[in-house]
Amino acid sequence: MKSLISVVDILDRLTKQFVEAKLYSGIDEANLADFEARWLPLLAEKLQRATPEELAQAQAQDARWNWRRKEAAWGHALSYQAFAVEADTVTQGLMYVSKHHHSRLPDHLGAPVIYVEAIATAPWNRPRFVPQPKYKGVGQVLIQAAISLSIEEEYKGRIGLHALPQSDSWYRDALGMIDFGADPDAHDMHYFELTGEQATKLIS
Amino acid sequence: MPDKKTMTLNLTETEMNVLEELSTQKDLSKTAVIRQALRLYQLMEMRLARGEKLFFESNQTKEKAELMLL
Repeated sequence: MKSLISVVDILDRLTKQFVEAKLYSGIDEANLADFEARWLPLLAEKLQRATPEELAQAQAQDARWNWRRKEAAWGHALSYQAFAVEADTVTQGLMYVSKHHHSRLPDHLGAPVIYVEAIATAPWNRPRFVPQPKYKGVGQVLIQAAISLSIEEEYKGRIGLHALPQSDSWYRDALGMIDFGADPDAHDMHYFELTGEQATKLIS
Repeated sequence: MPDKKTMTLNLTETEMNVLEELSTQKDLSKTAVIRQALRLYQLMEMRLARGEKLFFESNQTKEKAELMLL
């Protein structure tokens, strides 16, 4: 069930003004309809014309993700939770997390983490996808939601994820997550983890 | 966060010992351990209902053992 968690500010890069965005727990038909009607045509067009390298360059490596299928597979499971960010009554970002993964940090081996299964901002917000990206901060809002959930579930703020190559530097350099390197069990995507201490700094 | 409901859970001493052990190991409250267990149980049931199997794989030998659930 979708419920409003908070109202947050994100930056409209075009007007240079902050605007209100709504962060929801759960996604509904309106979010899926936005994905299919607004996101997918842009991603599909890019997918049709681009090489894998160009997809990475254009921050479009999620072009084959289908959020309706994710919702169908995970929507009723207690172990998964979805989040959506909306602004201008349009879906600006989506995320699915799961609650059954464990830390790979030597000091916290076996401790639970919130694992980010999938996270995406709308194509028009991506700096390398469009010449004039719209909103900045959607991904950060979603990551902070994952951290908050981790604290709420007594996981101390720990989160983990496998990053699409297009996003490696954002997780490592902007968020300061620990890079465990390429994971052969996950198509060689890099595994990243945020400690409880790092999480506290990020949301304070 | 959704509204929460309270229930009383009756456990044997052995079960309570295991719960306390897991609570200490995972650094979670006993409530959080039970909630985690419920999630995993539901997840297993959902995947088994789809016709999937549950395996444990040895890190060293890569040997797989199927977990049979009733």
